[in-house]
Amino acid sequence: MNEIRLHSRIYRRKNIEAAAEAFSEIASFGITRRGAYYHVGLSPRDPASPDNANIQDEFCNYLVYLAKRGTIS
Amino acid sequence: MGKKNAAGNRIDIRVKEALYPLDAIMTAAYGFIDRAYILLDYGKNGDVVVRFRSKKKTSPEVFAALRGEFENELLHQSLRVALGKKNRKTRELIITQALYALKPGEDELEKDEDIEEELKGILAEADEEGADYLEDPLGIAVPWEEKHKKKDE
Repeated sequence: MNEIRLHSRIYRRKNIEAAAEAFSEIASFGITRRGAYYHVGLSPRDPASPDNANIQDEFCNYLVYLAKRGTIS
Repeated sequence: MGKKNAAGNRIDIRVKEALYPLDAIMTAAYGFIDRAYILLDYGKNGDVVVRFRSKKKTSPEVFAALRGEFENELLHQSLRVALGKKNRKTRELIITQALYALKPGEDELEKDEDIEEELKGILAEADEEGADYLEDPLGIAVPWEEKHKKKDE
């Protein structure tokens, strides 16, 4: 299982949950908060898939997209 | 802008939040998600650290050029955020006025009432005359074929 640390002042829990929902077909997620950070545990559903290497990074990029979408003024 | 590190396909750019708002940093970073994987975090001294990792294999020089692009984009987004805040009241006023203009005025409401009264009058008149919708004194309901039927047929 991989773990991503996301600072709570930068990333909103609502967005993290939305991203986890969007990626739920390819990985399972566990979100816990410890101090100022959200710890996102990520387990690929298909351990043999070659795409697993990038799931974590794509997840982070998707969070940037969600955050940007929420800041349009 | 703080210290920057470049190592192969990874760059960390430190940004002072006092100079650039977090919204601007996030929006600027969004412009690069097609080329790099991006993670934002806080550094030890409170600066925002924007971590870029190249998606494709590129030379360190080419990837390092991304720094400059990001810094320019950061400036652009900061200005956009600042202008957005400055013009917020004006924008809200314009929208309020536009929505207020859509609200029907008193004159239009009076006109609607007049039309309703006129319709009521016409219907009452028709009732008095004993008009029936089944009657067809002008022959409007007669089909065209029947009206123009040749006498030979």
